[in-house]
Amino acid sequence: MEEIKSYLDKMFTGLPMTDKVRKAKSELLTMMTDKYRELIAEGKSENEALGTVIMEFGNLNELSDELGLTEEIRSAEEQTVVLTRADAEAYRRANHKYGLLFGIGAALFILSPIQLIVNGFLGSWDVAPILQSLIFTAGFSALLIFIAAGTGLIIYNETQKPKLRDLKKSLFRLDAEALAYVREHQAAEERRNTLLTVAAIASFIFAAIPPIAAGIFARTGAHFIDDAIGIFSVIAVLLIVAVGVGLIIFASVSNDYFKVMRKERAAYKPTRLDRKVNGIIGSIWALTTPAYLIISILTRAWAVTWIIFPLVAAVSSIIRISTGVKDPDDI
Amino acid sequence: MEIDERTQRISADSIRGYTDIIVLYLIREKPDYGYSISKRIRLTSAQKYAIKETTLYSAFTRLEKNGFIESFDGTISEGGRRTYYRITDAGRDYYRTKCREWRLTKEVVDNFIAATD
Repeated sequence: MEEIKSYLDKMFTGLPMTDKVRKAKSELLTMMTDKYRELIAEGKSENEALGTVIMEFGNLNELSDELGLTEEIRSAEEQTVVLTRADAEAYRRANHKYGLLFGIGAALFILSPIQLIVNGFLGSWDVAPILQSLIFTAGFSALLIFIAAGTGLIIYNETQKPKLRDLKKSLFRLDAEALAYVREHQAAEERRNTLLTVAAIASFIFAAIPPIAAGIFARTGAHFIDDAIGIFSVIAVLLIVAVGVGLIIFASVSNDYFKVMRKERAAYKPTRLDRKVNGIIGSIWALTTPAYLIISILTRAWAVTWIIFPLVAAVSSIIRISTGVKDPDDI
Repeated sequence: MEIDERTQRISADSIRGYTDIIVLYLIREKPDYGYSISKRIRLTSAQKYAIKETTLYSAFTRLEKNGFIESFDGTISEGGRRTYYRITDAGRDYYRTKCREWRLTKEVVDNFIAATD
């Protein structure tokens, strides 16, 4: 039933809500709902019933004279992009790939210090100072390579980004087949995405196990073995967190597709405050990675400096909450 | 006349001028509401005409504006309160005129319909 309502909302997007328009919309909703109910009672599936109702809806142009909105309806029709099944499918595939690459890119960031940590451990052996600095340099190079790869991946991904974001800002509706396609995938994929998110969050909790275990077992007295256990536990934590973050990102991007396709959504028009706040938050984020690298290189406190990312995330949430400006991607 | 070869259904364009007759015929004995009228059109036409919601609603508003029908609130359904439509005296006159007009049209056009086809 909600589907019929949101279909009508989309059809009426951009029309001035005069009394006549409101009445037409509510009467059409009643007729369509009655028809839907009866088709279901006849044993049709929800998809079939919805398809029939939408197919037999007709064309708003027919009402233009009665509603006194000839101009408005024509211009709304012109602005509205109608997505076919092929469009819906292309968006879904592109979005899937986008989520995957974004997740991998983020995981690379998290995994970037691994080689440095391992090499730090190797360098602490009793070796010549020249070899020590060589080992450290190699580890540091690996870190930069990971960060570069992650950044490159995410930037490449942004340029390939499906036009979902553009779609959010335009008037569009799905034709009957496209709607059926989206519905067909929604339930299963949303369930999968929830599972992935839950699994990722659970893994964060389990990420505490390796350091705890290391604390218990790293008491052999042999420095080498104790250190090795410690290093392995840190690497295990990084791996778990990297996979978890990757999964959460993928799941949330994947859900975004259904949010955009299914939500009734008026064209997004940012106010001046919206633009200002989004600009400020955007610049803070743009400065974060360079700041992270500079601070880390200067202080060498890699174990602590990553805190800057959750910190910036928290600050930007606080800014959004206190100003009431939402992230355009979440609208 | 355009007929969809596959479904043997009449196209919306060819019947457009007669939506008024159809609606008035169906409410001439007792008032009825949108979906019920749409369903009766399909049944009465032996499934050959499935009227679109927008076509039907535009007929309602047009007929009401001309004073041929009146609307009033009726039963509540899941989608909201159903609007019922009742024929007026002017509507009955208009219906009779349209029927005469159709008989004449049919008579004239019939003269040009070849027996073999």
